[in-house]
Amino acid sequence: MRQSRHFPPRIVAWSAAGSIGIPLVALVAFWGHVDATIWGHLWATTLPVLVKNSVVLVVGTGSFALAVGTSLGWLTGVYTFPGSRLFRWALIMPLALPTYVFAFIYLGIFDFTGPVQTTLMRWFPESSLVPVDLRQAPFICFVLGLALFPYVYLMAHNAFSSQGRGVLEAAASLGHGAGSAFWRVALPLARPWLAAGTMLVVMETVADFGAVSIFNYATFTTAIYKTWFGFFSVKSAAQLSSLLVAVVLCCALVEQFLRRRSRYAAVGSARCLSPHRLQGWKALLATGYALSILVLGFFLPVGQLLYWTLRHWSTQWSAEYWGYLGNTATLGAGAAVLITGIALVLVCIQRQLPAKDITTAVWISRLGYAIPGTVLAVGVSIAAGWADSITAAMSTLNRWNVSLPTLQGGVAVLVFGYLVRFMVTGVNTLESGMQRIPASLDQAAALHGSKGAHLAGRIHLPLLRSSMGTGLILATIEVMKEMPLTLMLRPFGWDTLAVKIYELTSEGLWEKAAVPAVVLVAAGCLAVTILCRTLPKNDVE
Amino acid sequence: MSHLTLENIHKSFGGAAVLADVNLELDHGDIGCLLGPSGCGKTTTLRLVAGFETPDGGRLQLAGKTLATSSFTVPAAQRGIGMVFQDYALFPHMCIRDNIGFGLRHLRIPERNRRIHEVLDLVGLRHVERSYAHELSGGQQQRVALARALAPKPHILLLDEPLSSLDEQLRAELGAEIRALVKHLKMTTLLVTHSQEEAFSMADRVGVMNQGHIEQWASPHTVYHHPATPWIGTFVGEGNFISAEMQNGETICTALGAVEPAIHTDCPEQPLVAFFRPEDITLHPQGEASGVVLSSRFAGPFQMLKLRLCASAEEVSCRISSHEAIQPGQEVGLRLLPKRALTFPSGEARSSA
Repeated sequence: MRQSRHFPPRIVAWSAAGSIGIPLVALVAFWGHVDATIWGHLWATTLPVLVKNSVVLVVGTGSFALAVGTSLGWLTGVYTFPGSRLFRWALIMPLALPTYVFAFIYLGIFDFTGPVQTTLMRWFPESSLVPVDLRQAPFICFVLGLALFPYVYLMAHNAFSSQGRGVLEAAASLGHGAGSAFWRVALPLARPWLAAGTMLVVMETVADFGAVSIFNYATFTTAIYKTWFGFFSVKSAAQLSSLLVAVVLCCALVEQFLRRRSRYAAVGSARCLSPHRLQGWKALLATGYALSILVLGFFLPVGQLLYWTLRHWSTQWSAEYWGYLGNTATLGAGAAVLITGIALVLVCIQRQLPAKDITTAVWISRLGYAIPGTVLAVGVSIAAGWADSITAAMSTLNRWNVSLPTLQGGVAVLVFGYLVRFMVTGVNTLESGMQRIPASLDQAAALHGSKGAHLAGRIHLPLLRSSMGTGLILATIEVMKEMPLTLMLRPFGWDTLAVKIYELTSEGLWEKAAVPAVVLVAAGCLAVTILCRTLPKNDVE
Repeated sequence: MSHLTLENIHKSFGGAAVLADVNLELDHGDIGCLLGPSGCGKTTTLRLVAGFETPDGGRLQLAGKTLATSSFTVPAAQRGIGMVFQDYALFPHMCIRDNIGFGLRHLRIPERNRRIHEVLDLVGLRHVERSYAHELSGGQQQRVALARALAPKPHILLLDEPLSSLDEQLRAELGAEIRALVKHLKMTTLLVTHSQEEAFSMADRVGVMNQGHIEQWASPHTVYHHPATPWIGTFVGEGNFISAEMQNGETICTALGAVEPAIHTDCPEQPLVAFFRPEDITLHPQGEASGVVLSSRFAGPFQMLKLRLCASAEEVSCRISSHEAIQPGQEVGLRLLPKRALTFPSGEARSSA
């Protein structure tokens, strides 16, 4: 009897998780029709290059981000030096810039025609070192690494500042100086966190479409996009996609596993102690290093962006931009409201019905973040095709006179795509908000006979108001920045700022692309500031 | 010459003075204990000795070497100290033998192994050599932490709230065990605690700390029975304060009668208070004074009475056997035992109360 009482919320949770899972199922289902000729062609031509390029990109970007993120996390987590308090949060700021914005700004500055190379060529006309073509793996890894290292940095900083300190003192009391303590104790202990952060970088790198297409670097995502628009071959696009999904899902599982393990690796209680103060040349070196990464990762690109924007604002910003901005905001806000609403329902159900299958449903609802936008676009449109053929079949069967609108090519499909990809933002924000509500409140309410929807509406909802606000803003901004999903699924007349950036950068018009980009970066800064506020504060001066 | 010396140590964090003029001398082989309420600066003092903090002023010496002054400090890693942390801080990614071997990297492998076995035998945990910290019980982790700290033969052993995370029964047992062990090794030890039982059971000398300085540095017996200040009297155990007068310089007169004080002090003509412990008064049918029982609190081996003295209406507490049947409201005869009470100028006592 107990089981049946919980039936409706269980159905709600599973239908939400189910619809989010459909695009993934669609991709996997396409393996049923493997087309040998297409695969033969792919294998003979592009596939080896794609695999090689992707591996180089992942290894290069991952190791660069790991080195930068770990070293900065160590410095800010364990020491104080001039500016360390500022660096502690400012080093997250590169996340405010989408990778494709990073890419076109860096290319704009350092390409043949950019100010750096032209100046060098003027100074050293004889040199064989310039001009250099920067559309190559090392430079791309460098740029992507600068854009993505904060994922590692955040994890490293938390690991070192909380878990590291107690054991560092223990190491010191046993005669080990800072260097030896770092390599032998702090680093091995932080390994799960560092690996989890690096995994996020790897996932973002694998999923990246905007930056690699600006660099003209062939990876899986650009190949999928080309197959989609060039050959209009859903089948081969789907099969390329499912290959990529397999890789990404592996990364996601590894990340989840590491995250779970990292919880057990904590050493004793996290004591808040005054960090060690660096002095003399060591302090100077630390400040110089952190500052140079901050300049390269934030101030230089943002400064360049502002400079271009100021030069081109009057000529570029025209009535059509209001249209792009309107589309961007409408799609962002619309998708964010849906995401927050569904996430709220899921989180409330999970709170009151802590069963294993509900946890699984919530986990599935989060999976979309792991799927690259290009891949998801393919999956979503296949799923929309299925839905359309089902409604068509049903209307002939029942001889209904009303004809349902077809989904394919409609804006609903795009919004659904956003929903799948960014459900994680809503669910995570609301879940952490829910965890801050003590269970005793629920028990107190239960004593007054409040449960189910009443409990959710009267107790949880009012207390979750600020988390809902945060979730809404974060989801809106994520949707605004999304490039490949929008490119591939947008109906006619739904161009967004990200689409405009793609169009301008594919013609090499970096300076003009700065105008729409500056709006996205401003929104990104807002998102990062909000995220900073929600981070745990475990630093005590 | 003492083994550990702290001379006029000052330390402040962000403008707030945490340590103000701390002085301490600990002889070789002795166990010293800093006792005080939270925030009194005892942990900061321990961390200064360890080298995790640097003093703003003063001098710190260990085994004849100056370790820190306001201008110069030896890094923690080069001081030759052993420390047992409150949460033990055992490295979770190393097995027990690697944890203990961590401080022995200067030794060659056979010697290192011998030393690891030696200290594991000392704490009776040879069999857990290959285990990891999370596989051990709290008491075993504590012993491993002790073994790790002792392995490099440090100049001094520092213990930060060593028994606080253990349950009560284990606490007494391990306290005695640690004391026996460090005494056997003649290891100079400094520990920090907020629990007086821990301090009394383990230490040779107790330093009672309050608001950043050591108010008294003496044996546990002296600290308990002859507290240097009224504040110590109330912080360590329970104390009674009643007003008193000095007669002929050798008898004190109180509402509980005239008795000989524990210590004769040259008290000028000024208002005084007498200080004594609840166990220093006894119930006595022919007592010189009497009081009305206000309440009685049962505490197992004894009961604590709250009494109002008939002569002065002052309230005192009295500790008697829990077998005696006493009802609130009952009037009882009282006697203050001789050579127990101390006197303090009444102004001083009031300001600390």
